[in-house]
Amino acid sequence: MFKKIYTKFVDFSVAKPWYVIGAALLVTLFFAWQASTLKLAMTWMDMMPQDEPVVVEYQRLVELFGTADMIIGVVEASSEERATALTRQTAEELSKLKKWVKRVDYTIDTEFIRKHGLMLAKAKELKRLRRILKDPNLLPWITALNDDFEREYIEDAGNLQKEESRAAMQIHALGVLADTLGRLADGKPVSPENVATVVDRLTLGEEHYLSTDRKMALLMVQPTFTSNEFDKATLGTLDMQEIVDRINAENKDAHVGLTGMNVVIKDETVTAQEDSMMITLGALIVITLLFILIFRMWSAPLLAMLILVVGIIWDYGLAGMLIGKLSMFSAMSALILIGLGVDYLMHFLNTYFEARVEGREARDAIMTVYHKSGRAIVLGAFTTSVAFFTMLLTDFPAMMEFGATVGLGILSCLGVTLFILPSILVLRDQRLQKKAARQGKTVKPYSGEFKFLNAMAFPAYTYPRITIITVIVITGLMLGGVKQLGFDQNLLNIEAKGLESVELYDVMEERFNMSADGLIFTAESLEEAESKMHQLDELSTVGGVESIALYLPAQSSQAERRPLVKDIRSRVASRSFQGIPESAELAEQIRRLSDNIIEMGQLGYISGLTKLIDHCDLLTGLDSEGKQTGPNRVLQAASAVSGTSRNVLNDFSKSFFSRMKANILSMANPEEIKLEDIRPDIRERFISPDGKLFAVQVYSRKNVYKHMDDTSFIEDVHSIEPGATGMPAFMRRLITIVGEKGRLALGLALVIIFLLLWINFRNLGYTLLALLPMVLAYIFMFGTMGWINMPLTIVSVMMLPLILGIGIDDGIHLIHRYRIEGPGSQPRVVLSTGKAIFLTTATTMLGFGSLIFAKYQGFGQMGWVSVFGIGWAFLISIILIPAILKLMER
Amino acid sequence: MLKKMVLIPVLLIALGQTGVASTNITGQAEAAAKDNSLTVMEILRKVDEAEAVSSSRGIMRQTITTTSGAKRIMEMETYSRDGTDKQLMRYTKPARVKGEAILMLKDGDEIWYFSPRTDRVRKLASHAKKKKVMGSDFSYEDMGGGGMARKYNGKLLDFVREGKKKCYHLELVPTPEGPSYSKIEIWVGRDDFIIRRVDYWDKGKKPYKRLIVSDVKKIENRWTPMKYYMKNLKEGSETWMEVKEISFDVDLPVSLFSERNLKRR
Repeated sequence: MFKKIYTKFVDFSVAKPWYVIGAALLVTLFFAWQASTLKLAMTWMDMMPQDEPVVVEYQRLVELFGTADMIIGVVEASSEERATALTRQTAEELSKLKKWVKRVDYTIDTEFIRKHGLMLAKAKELKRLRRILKDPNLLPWITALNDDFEREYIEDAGNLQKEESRAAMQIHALGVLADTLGRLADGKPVSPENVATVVDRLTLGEEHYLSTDRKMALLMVQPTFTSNEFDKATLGTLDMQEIVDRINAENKDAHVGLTGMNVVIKDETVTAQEDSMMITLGALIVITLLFILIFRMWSAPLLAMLILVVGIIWDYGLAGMLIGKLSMFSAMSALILIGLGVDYLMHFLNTYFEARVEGREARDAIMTVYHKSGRAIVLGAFTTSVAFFTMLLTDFPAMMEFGATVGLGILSCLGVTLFILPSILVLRDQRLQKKAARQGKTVKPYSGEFKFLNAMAFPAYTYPRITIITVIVITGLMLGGVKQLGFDQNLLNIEAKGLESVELYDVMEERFNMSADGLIFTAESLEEAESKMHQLDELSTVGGVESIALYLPAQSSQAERRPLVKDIRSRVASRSFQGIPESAELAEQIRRLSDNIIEMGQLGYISGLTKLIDHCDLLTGLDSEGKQTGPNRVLQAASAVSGTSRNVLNDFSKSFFSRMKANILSMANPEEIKLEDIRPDIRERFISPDGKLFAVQVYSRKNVYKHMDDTSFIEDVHSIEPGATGMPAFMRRLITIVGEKGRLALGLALVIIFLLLWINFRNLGYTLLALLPMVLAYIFMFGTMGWINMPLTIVSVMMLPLILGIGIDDGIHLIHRYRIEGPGSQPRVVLSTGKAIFLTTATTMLGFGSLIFAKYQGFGQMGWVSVFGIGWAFLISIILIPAILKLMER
Repeated sequence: MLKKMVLIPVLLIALGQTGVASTNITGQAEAAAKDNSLTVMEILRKVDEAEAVSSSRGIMRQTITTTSGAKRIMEMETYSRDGTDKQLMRYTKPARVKGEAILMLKDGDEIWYFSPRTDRVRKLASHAKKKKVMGSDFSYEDMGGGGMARKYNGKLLDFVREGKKKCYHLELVPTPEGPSYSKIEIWVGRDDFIIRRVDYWDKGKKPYKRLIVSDVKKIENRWTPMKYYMKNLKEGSETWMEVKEISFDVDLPVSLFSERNLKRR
């Protein structure tokens, strides 16, 4: 039936090739129009099932708070002053981008802390502060601080680990105090303003978000878009990057970088676009060279391009009609079609030119293709498309769309090859005939032979048992490798190397003990927000928590804290300047402080608290091995205090006391903090427009994308708030779903392919034989990757269906041709079909292989997977199948 | 009482409350090994018996891997006497921590810390017992006294294999004089009564710390675990303790375990 129709079609194509091409053009235009209706959904979240709780919640939060994905600016300079100045400049310039920037935060509201500081501290902390702040006189204050260090840190290394940043900040502030005291040695008085600065640093803390080495500062940009708005996110971050680049050009001694998921997506897009050009060019060059070498056909690249472009247009047209959108996954269908679509063309042309060389006219040669390779081409395409269509059964939208788009694409490429290619070949033949006639020559079709294929396969089918045993042994070795194959869950390893936005994630982890991205949820009351914030803050996996409760504690908390704050206030208020401290006693307490800082540094060293060690060592003059290589600034302060005049010490102590007392009294303000006391931008960031919901943002201590296999942060946060959502939660869920559904899809595909092959061959032996190259190709590919320690990634797994398709195609073509040619035909099958398989392997392998050199590491991983998978599929097919067929003949 | 309940100080770390220690293979352990009818208390007593040594001296290597992946490798000399009553650890490597020492007296109820850099000896407050020892994943109470039968009540969960070893799997809840954990689960070798694994629980739904004991060797006629691995399951940090040298029943003067001796460099 099909033969009859196809014969008529071929006859029509020979007689009226332009009609066919005209009709194809109309169909292509129609599909192009349909393709133009495709909606691009290119974000990670677009791939998630839209009813997934993390997605639903995220979208709700985006509506309430504008965005959940901050862009982080990281400013590094040679000094604290430069870093903070440049942070201010960057923040001001970025704020001007009203279209993209809602707000930029780069300072902590120290004035607010001055007015309400103690009401913001937890009751437990207030009890601790009550001990430290009981007397604002210099000597009692240092004594109390020493007691606190010993009780809280030296006796509890675990506490020191938890509070590393806080302890490091304290050490830094004490360094400023020590240096100021050190100046007393000169006998010159220190101005009250200078003393005030020191005391402000000790009591109010930092104004900027500074790293512990004080050379790096952060600014947080709240964009007007979310990472879910692909176009805006890309354009917006590009504009921000432009400003940052200009600032960098103007400030050679410093550097500003941007990071956060929005920036990574922008960088990802730019790099992927550059790399896509590379694969297209690489594939084209390889295809050109091979076609010229084999068929002496200069127009081959155009033909391949034509088949692929038309096939992809048909595919996207069908996708536009049936699916309506193109996600990040399904856009990859174009890449897979480049790998598979050309294969049908190769098999077609190979048999066609062989027939032409044998003297058949174009029409007969096309019919020979139908007889000798047609069924295998169709069967190969159908089984591969079915493999992809099975993804429709997974109930995971991204995978369903991907499977449908690739499945339709394969059928489109098959359709273009079967129905347009004959007319093009006929027209080409007519043109060559005319040209040859004008020159008085005859057309000599050419089809090169690859004798090396027989040289490879000959020993295999001559000694089939040895071949099979050898393959079994190698399979055993490869299975050993499969056991070692890992899955790299560091998502940043799929990004381009050297991308600043990616590297800054590590910098954030290292210098700020937190990730640039985190989770977010809402609380229904201030009490809930505060309680959950404190619970989260206790978790070791959490690097930071923010909510309005940082500025506006719940009334119940304020009520609990008020007596403690009042107590501190009344104690401090009753204190008066106790006069000049006994210098020997003060020096002794400063030496004790030095001892405490040294011991904290030692504990920090044992606990691996690098930031704390740096601060302690810098202050006490130790090098990384603990040798005294510089002055101990605290001991210098002790000496200065011992040696200074009573007057100078009196002035200093007086200034210290009055500022410390003023600051504590101001901070110990027991009045209720009200909503209107909070800065509007902070209110907007954490409170929903109707004032009923309170956002809580949680940041991981570790770089979340680097440690996706470590789910402890997400689990910990979910144990306190199961509804917490955000990019890390999507990515985790996405990896889980892809893993689960991918395995399901693969299992289903294998079953359906098996059934299809069985129906086609009606022979279990041939069916299993056709599946063998694909199965072994997977084992060998995974084994090779396992042995060379190359883990799979979320991107490289996208290549696995391609290996499935090509592996099956190779087996089907060889077995199908063998069945046509009959027993003993292995040399002919290897020479003819083997050549086509070699060509399809070479084009796909080299085309995708060019990805190995891509900047985007995910593409590079895809390149390696395709090289190993397709290469092994070819070798196994060409060596093992003829050998087994030989054995079956016996 | 020739043999007192003594933790091998060297292994104090792992041994403490969990009772992991070397075991005297001439003891009654093997006889009881095949007896599945032992009660929990009997098993715990056998663990305590298995740990009984009079004194010990050793060298251990400690490797701490922090949550951020930073590694610190240290070596220490360890001494014990009178069971869990007197224990001393003195760091010898690297140079940065050389001489730092911890002295635990009265079953770990009294803890002293010496830092040679500041030349200070500090007595830690009693609440410090629950805290981490020098940044490791072991707490002072992990290193403290043994006496499993005294400090725990519990039930036998099942007979399982931990690694290749047939074990009793017990769930234990501390008695009032026991440690601060809400409960522990232990896996005790059925033929040698050496604890192979301990899961530590706080108030959470999952264990937060896990100790794995391995490489059990016969040293001076005692089965002695040579490696202890403590993983903080919440924080991701881990600590390895490896026994490099160990001798038992050595003659150690009481003065070795004094505050004054701590300052000996």
